[in-house]
Amino acid sequence: MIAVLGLVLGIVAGLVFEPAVPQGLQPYLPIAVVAALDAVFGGLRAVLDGIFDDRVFTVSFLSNIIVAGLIVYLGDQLGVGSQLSTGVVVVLGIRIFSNAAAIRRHLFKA
Amino acid sequence: MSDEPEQPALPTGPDDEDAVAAEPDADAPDGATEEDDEAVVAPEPDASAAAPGVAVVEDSEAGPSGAVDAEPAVEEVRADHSAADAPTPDAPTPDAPTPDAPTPDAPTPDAPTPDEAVTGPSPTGDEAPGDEAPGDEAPADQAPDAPGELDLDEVATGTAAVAAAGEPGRRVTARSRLAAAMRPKANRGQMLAALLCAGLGFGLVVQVQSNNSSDLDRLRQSDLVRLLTDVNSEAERLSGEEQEVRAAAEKLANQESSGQEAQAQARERLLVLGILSGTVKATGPGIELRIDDPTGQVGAPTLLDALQELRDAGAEAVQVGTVRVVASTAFVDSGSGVEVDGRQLRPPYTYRVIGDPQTLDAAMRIPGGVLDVLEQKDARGTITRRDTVVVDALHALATPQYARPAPEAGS
Repeated sequence: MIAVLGLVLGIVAGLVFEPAVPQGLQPYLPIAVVAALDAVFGGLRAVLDGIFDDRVFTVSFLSNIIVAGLIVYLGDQLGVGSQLSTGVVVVLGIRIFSNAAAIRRHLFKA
Repeated sequence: MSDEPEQPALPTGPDDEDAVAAEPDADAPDGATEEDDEAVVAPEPDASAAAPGVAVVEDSEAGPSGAVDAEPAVEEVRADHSAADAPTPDAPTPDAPTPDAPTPDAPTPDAPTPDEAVTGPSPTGDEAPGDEAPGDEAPADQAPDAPGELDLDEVATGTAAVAAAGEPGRRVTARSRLAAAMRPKANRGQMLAALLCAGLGFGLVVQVQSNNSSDLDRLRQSDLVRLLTDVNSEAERLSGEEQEVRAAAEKLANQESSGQEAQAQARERLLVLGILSGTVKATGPGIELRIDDPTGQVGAPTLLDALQELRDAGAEAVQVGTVRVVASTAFVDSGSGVEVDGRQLRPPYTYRVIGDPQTLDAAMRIPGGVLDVLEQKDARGTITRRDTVVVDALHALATPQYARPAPEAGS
């Protein structure tokens, strides 16, 4: 519940302040958002599995973001940044889908 | 503890996703194992008593719900326990057999249990009743286990539901867990999750907005360079096109102006030709020659001579009486007068001539000229110089029946 409140609070803050994305972060923010979404879905699934742990959630959330950012950075250095970020998004998308499927099975038994 | 068997039980569905679901578990099992580590730390005091007891409870529960499905989770947990419990001499021994236990199950609990019973139950002595009445033991055993095992919030509802409802409890657990998680509790986990979720929401909105607001801002350098190159080549192409179009426009303008000029020239030419051919009224300086012929001796030859003399003197447009004089004009004697181009004229004859007045005047007066000839015939010619002579008689052109313009050479 507090997490949901936090999410709403973050969205509201983003809407209110409308900050400009720093130049250096621009390629990484979308990837980081997707990675964080993956972590959140994983956490939700863990909640439903009854194995949620805040430490694991925090670590996986942050490491997801950092690893995704590193991959994109590496891709940029190698000159395949856009392709690699596409790959990262695909992988994270698959994970989000499978997590969503697990959540769905928990909630709807189907 | 009772939660573990259920988790694998769900994926038993033949969905394809199960295969995939196993991979993302990477997160979940992470949590599971780490929690197990924690869990072990928490119940350590109970370990000697609780561990065997739990084992029995799980076995008996796994039986009805699906022994095969339950196995992996149980094993995993066992393994962790075994690792964690290592210090206690009892643990390794009871853990090893237990994975086998689910299959033999409740009906023959004695076979595996004796091994455990030797080590585990001996301190407690509850082993035998525990086997026969797992339902009773379950809550008691899970209670100490659960706090470490589950998320701190869920313990109460989750385990209670399972313990009370047993098999039907499966349906409730997921939602009840969700409900429990939804219950606001200001513990560390909730606050951290809230913080991270706030960060996520913030980043999400910022990204969406920056994505909506500007297209160029978020492109990376290589894309911008490519874009710039595209734009440059496009500009080059367009400027080339512009030059072509400009040249074409210039050409057309030239053609138009030359066309206009040609048209003006043609119009001028038309007027000149009209004056020459007698289809256009003409005006200009010149003379008027009036020939009085009281005796009627002036005939066509005299009038023709006078006209020739005027033309020699540079007459440009000539009118005799009401007849315009052109190249084909003919003078014919007829009765009391002269017929000019089929029109009967009677004396006095009047020439209206456009040309240089002085030259024309002099041409008329030269010795043996027109005036002298007229005097010899008892006629009298009168010349009047005028600044403006109007030749307003027109000659009707007949369309040539046979002659056609010859094509110009070279065209």
